[in-house]
Amino acid sequence: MAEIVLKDVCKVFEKDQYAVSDFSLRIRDGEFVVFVGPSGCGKSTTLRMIAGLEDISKGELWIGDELCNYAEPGERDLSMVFQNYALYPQMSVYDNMAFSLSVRKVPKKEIRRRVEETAEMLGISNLLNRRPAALSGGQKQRVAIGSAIMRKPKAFLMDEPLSNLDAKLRTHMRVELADLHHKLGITTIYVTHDQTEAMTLADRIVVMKAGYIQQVATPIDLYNHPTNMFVAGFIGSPAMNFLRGKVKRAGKGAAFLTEGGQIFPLTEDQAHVLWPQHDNRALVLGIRPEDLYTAPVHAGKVYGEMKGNVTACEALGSEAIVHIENEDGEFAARVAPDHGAQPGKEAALYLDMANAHFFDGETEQNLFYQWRNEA
Amino acid sequence: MENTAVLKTPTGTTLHRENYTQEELAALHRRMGLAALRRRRIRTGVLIVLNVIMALFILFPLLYAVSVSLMPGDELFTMEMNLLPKHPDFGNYIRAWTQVPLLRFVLNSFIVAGCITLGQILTCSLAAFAFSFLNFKGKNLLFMLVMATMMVPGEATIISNYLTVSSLGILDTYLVLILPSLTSAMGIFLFRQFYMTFPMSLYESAKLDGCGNLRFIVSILLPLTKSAIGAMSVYTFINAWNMYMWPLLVTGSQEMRTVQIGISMLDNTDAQSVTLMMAGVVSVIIPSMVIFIAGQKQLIRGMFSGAVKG
Repeated sequence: MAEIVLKDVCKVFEKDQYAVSDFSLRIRDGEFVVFVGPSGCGKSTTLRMIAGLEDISKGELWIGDELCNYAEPGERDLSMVFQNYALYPQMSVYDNMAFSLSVRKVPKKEIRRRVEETAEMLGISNLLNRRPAALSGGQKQRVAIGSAIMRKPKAFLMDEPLSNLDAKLRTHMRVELADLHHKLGITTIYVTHDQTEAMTLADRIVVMKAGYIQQVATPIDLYNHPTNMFVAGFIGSPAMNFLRGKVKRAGKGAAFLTEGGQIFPLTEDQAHVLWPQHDNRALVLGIRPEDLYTAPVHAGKVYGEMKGNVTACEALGSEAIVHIENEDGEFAARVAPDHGAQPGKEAALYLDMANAHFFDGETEQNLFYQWRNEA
Repeated sequence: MENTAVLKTPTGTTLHRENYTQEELAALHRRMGLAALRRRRIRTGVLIVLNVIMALFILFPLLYAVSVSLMPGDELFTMEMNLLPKHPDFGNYIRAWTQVPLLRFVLNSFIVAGCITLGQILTCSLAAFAFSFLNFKGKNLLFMLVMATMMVPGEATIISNYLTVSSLGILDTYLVLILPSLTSAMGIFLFRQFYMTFPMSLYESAKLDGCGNLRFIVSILLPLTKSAIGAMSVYTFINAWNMYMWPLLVTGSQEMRTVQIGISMLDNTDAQSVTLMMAGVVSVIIPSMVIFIAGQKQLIRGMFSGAVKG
């Protein structure tokens, strides 16, 4: 177990083509960190650099107190779980799990004890004599995880370990992984493009885009205080709704005037910050689907009314997603199942303005919250 | 649409499904089942006959060689068309095996072809490993260079090769027969193609487990690429067994001859005997046939594995 520190790590594949740029992060001992981002954002490359499967072009990688830029993958004492499990097909489950230890010349007795103990913990004791081909996806994944934890490494690296499983099994394994991390307390770095996995598993999430870290924060912080439009749009499903427009003076306070001509009143605090600094500048209002209501529920709150044509209603049982369309674009609202809206008809939604986010129209930065990388 | 199926009876009247009695239905099943079986049998029979005709046509030269090898000399050189021997005997075989040291030739060929096969498997698989799993500067250039050698015909290099080995003073030895064929661009290419389909994550996982390259090759790569090795072995062995030009050039003594050269000794200007030659040819085809039959499954699996998933 160890702390892992990355300092200005870069990966250059070809001349001046940065796959990862200035990646700085301090991963605390025992922490569960998830790298998340769209494909091609550099999250897997970063993980592979930590593992030693890719060279680090620039910057430093510290594992514990050692500078590990130049260490061979086998010397770093990390173990990795791959998307396709990477089990050796010609070996039994037992041999697969024992492989890393037998390479390290651990005595046979000790290996047997540890394999049995690990198999017990993962509930795969009855599979030890089988070949990987005779296992189901979930069992393979469990064996892969077993092989990884056998060695008691300094950290686990997981590269989209659940993406080959079906939806139900994925949810199940997610819970098991969280439980396992809780039991073992080993530093874990987990790469995924699935924001649900990121939100549910992580102590901290690292959101990446085009090789740059966008924001590092706990799931809740990330959700409530996204530093820019990318993070705001990436985290949360359905995604945050965005409206382009400007702030205008309206009576004593101020209001947000959209490009499509809708007017939303601002709260006092928002007006105070946005007016007059951002007068006449292009802004973006972001609002999460759950902050849209079919009726203004609380008397004391500031609501903005938005009208539009209902394009679809998705009933999810405990809730419903209503999609509406107007001059400003398309919007999704997460509402109670008895919403009463019907596709093809007009409906009004009410924005809970206190929960609205405001971004600069050009830099796309959050005007109320700025995250700085202090690692 | 109403959910009532309409069935035709043999007489052409239509019956609704509900109107059949249990017995009628059973009879219908029997009748139609028999008809289907007959059709299937006829189809299979026609296919078998066609296949046998094709097989005879393709195998004719080989079968004729066997037939000739069993004929006494006078039966072949007549104006009649003798496809089958009238008085088959094994005299040709006995003479072929006693007239020249055929056994020694076969042994030589086995030693040479065996060593070449082993050598090629070793060098080609290691080279292919480097080309597919390792990253180094000039990897692609080097690989293209290796591939480019496939475009140089063997005849172009045979003289310079001869001069090289003769200056080394190893003419007329096993070494000279084996050494030039210890690696092949084709083999490297075949293995590399095979390794390209090998999941990279297995290699990476082994590396993280602290497993070195050599250990990875021995305990993971080789066991998993058995079929490629099998295919490669059969292919190389048969090629080496059939070598003609090179052994002819570099061996002189009776003891070093391989079968292909030895066979031609049966045919000389003093005693031209086609029947004797055929007996020799048939005897030496047998080992390569055995190898091929034994390795056939591996050969096909090896050539096509990676072509489809699974």
